[in-house]
Amino acid sequence: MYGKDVRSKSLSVVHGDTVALHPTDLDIAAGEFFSVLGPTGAGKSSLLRTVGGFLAPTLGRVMIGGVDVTDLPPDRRPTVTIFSDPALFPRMSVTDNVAFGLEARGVPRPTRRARAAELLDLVGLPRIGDRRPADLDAADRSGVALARALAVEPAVLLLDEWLSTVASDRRRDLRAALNAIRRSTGITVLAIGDDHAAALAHSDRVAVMNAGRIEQADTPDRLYGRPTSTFVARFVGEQNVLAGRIVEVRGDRIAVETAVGRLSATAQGRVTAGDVVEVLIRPERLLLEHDRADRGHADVDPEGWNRLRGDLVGRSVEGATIVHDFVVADVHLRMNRPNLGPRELLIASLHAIGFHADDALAFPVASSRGGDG
Amino acid sequence: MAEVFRTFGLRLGALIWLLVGVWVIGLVVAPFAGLVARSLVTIETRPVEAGLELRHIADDLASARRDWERATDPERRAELDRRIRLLTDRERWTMRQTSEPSAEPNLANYADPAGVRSRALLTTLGLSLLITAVALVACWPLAWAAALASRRARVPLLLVALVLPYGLLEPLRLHAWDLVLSPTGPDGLGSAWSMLPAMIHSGAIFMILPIFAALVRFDRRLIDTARDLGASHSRIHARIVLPQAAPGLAVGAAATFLFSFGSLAVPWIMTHDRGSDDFALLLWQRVATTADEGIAAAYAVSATAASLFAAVLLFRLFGLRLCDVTPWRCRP
Repeated sequence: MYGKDVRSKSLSVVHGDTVALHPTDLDIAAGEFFSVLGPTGAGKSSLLRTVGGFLAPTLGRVMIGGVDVTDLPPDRRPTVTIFSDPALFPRMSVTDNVAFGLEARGVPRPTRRARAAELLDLVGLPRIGDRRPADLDAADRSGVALARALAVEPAVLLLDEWLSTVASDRRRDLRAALNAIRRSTGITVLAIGDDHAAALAHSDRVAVMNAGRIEQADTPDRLYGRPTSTFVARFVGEQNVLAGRIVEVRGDRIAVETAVGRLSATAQGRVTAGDVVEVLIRPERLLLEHDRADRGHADVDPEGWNRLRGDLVGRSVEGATIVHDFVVADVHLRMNRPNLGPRELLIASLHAIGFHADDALAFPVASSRGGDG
Repeated sequence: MAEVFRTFGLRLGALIWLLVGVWVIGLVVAPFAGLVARSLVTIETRPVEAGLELRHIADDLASARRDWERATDPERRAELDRRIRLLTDRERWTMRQTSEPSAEPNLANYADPAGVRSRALLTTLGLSLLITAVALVACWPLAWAAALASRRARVPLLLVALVLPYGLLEPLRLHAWDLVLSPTGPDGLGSAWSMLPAMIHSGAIFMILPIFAALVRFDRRLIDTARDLGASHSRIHARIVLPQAAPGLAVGAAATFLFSFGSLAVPWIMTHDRGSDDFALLLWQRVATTADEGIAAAYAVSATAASLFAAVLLFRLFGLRLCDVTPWRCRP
């Protein structure tokens, strides 16, 4: 029942002159948690709705568990979609909501009520069965929507910004419940949204979409650490961006002349000397010299180490992380340090900072992308 | 009370309360209290001289009306119009001269020994419910069409489906009334049936607007979700759409019912009470003459009570308590 693979071939959606989804191949394994990230209008919604059956693709096929479901309506697909506003039936009790799919299948009332109670337990919401949706908070509503979807034992769960209306502390509980359910049932999950931290934390694979195309689909680790485009690099997490021109190429390692001086970086894609590139450095990979020494990294590949002297102009505590704002030759660089206690840096003073060439990814700036910033 | 002042400030809040007070007292409490008071007063007519005089006037009026029907010459008609008006005034004056109100309030005006009036009332109730039911069935798809239409298509649809018939219908409806009320026209039940379509047509606007308002806010994703969970279209309609539209349906049904009851009651009760062929005359006598004001008030009071009772029943039918559609809070 639960857990089937989802494949699409050249799936595309065209509305009049606008292409919502360029031909897209999707290959989600049975039981996989696959997340799709992207800005508004990237086509992730079109992708989800064609899989769910709410939108007919202009071209291409959708296969679920090896069966072509392209021409089937939503109710005849082994999928259930949960929307961000969970669309609970307002004039039914929570139990009747959860049991609705079973009711539609002709399951007798006592059986389906018992099953509904089980499912509400499973999502961590016992004892709310007699309430009305209007009396629940956003998190409870999302949980009820999950229980309602699971009641019909779908092979594939489609999450349309499932938890976007839920407060962050309650999101964690609901994600934990979903993860436990995934482990016990092996259900396949396709989720879309823009919460990249959650997507990275909970997905087996994450795809980033832009302008109707999947830019990269990879494990969270690789997507974050080895993005294949500046779009992905900047969409998933934060980046310091330095524009520059390549002055020397030695394999992957290149030397780039930038506003803060000559830097050693890692080329992404084929480059030659003279190319204009953007060098991207994650704020947590920008280190203080003494932190580097503390961690015993000082002797690792000293050739690749870039040294800068930065003026610390701002510092803000974001809980577990402290964000430092350095200025190096009029360029602002952001450094995220773990909040390890009272060892504070002196504001308005110079500090030795640096980063390794492996953590500085240089993407060629294509002429067509000249205006991309 | 304080909420209004908090929301609108002192001056605007006071104005709102003033206007609400004028409405409630001037248009609801005072007229109804007046009606009740009036219905408790009977008029005693000195029988001999008044009866003779009134019968002469009634005969003259009847012959004048007959002449008016036959007359083709506009000048002759105008002359007869004048005569009818004079005779009506004279009749009213005579009534006033020869009658006096009862000293003690009593319920004589509510007496209905032959059961004619209660039969008429029940028939009117039944007919109004029929009109309401037909209007509901007719309006449901139309309201859906309007609610689902794109914003651009909605305006012409509403205009064509609602406003035009409603605007055009006044003359049509008047014609139907004319058929029913004209002295030479058909009488009794047959003529009443003939005006039903027109009544349904006019009543539809009271039905369709609340339903439309309920459906236009309807979250289409509820249907998508229910469909996704495997529910058939009929189940979705029965379990999700109808309960969701129930407040609109209840308000629409009550409004249509009250409208048709109000429009039907007058000629209906008038006609059946005396079983007269000439009910245009009867109607004018009843409404315009002082002597029968008490009975007319009794009619009005019992009709209002009956229609309110029926409207509340309609609400219950759609699973709503009055508190669901009024500012009063429902007790859990």
